Amino acid sequence: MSDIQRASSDLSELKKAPTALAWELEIRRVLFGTREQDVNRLGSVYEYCEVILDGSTDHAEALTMFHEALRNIVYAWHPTRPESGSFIAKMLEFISAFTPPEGFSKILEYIRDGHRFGENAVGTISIESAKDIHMKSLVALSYYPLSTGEEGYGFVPYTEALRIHLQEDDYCAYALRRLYELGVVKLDDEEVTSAIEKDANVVDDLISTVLESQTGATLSGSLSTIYAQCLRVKDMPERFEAALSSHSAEFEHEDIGPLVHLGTELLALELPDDDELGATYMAIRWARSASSGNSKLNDIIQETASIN
Amino acid sequence: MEPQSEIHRLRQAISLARQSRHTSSLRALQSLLKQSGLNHPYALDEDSIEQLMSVSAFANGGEGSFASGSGREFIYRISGIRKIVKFTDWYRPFRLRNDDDIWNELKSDFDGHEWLSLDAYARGALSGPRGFTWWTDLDVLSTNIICGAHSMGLPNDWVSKYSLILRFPLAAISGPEFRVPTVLDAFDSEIFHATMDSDSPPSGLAISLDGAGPLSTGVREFILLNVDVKHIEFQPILIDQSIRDQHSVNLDAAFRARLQGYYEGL
Repeated sequence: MSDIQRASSDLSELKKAPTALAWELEIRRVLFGTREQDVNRLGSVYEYCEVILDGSTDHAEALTMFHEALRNIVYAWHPTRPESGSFIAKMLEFISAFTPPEGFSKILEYIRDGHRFGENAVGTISIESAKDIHMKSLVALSYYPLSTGEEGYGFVPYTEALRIHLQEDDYCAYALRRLYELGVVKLDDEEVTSAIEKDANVVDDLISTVLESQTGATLSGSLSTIYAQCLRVKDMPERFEAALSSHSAEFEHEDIGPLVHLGTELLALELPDDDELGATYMAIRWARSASSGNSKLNDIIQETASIN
Repeated sequence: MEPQSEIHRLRQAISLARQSRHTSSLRALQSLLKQSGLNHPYALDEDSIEQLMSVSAFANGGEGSFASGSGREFIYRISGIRKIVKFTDWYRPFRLRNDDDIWNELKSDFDGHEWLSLDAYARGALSGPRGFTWWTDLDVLSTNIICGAHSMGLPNDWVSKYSLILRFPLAAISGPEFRVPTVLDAFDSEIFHATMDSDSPPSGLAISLDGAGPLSTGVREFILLNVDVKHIEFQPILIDQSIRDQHSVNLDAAFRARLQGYYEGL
């Protein structure tokens, strides 16, 4: 039996008498996949560590040793060094979950050098897995506190990196959402139109963002602007309606303009004073009522046929 | 002999005696472990898992006989939030956010509700790493949560901090997706009571880890193959240090000695 399998069988020592060295060894075992079965059982490296930390005799001591160990590991990590996809994914999960100080700059510098996480993974890795790995790096960055404005630490390089991702189909939805949350992009910006043209998921993401963070008149205004953006891009008004319905909201075409039923709230969307958008909205409304009329007509025809 | 190796040796002997129809797969398991230089399948690394998952008997499960309910309205499961995100078509909150972050959002949605419907967050079916999930008929909310987990055969080390209690109505079972657990379903778990095939049991039985004395059989347990999330409801529950400290059952040498005693008594 290998020593590693023996070492994995009992974490009592780590819980009773944690040291930075013991934690460093444990984290490396997770990164190298030695603890895969235990990590899978709990679902994530985050949970694996949390469960050991919560089960430790002295929680404060365990946390201190754990953070020191992780800081050492991330400090020594070179993202350019080829590693397995699983190693890179787990490293990014550690950084995302526990935000060691070096993590932000390590990720950001690698991205700003034009690299994408997962591109240098050793062994076979699917395109989807590689995209997921890089997306994890973007998510990890979002967990670092940022002071906004030009002088804020990391704010400018971070938002620049996000803007670069606006040009990439796989990441533009996420990048746009973050830029909007940070107040760098406004919903009526042209960047939003071009992002919607590039990836329909942008619509879902923006709607989720505003529904989760806004209410009342602010929400109504944001939904109006997103809907106006959708009217500019083929098939996107339908996507807007579908995205709302996945949040249990209902969209209605009315003469006075679009309405959104959200729980007990009724939001009237106001379209900008733009003839072209107004005409597009009316065309959709007309087509929808015509198809609903046809469907009613079909129902009557079928009913009549069944009676006959 | 190292405790886990001894437990595996006992488990293999019990499995062959009680569920002999799995003899060839159990022998294949032994041979694969030997090839990898391993004495047991309870602490597998990435490569060993990949190797075992290339064999259909280990990659898939839920091929036990059809189970039948026990007169209860629901079956229950405790699961970490990440496993639900991973094994459904999860659509909100964003799946790559941290476990605590997703859990907090569910908790904020939950406040003021009795149960939340899983289909408000995920589409499709709930599955698991091997195509199935474990359930019991213990209403875990009616008891101390950590002791409830122990009755389900889960030591503290297997219970996630950011957990969901799931419930599934037995009325929604159409038949084939509801199974009695087999020794192959549990080949990688050192805690498992193998029922006797000759008894045609309607369910499995968990090993209850509660109490300080010898281990005993616990609640009824079941396997569910992929089931539609629209039938599943959940409550988010934080199982933090204060809850874990109420009663600790950890996978240490003392616990393994009790487990060994349980298997020897079968």
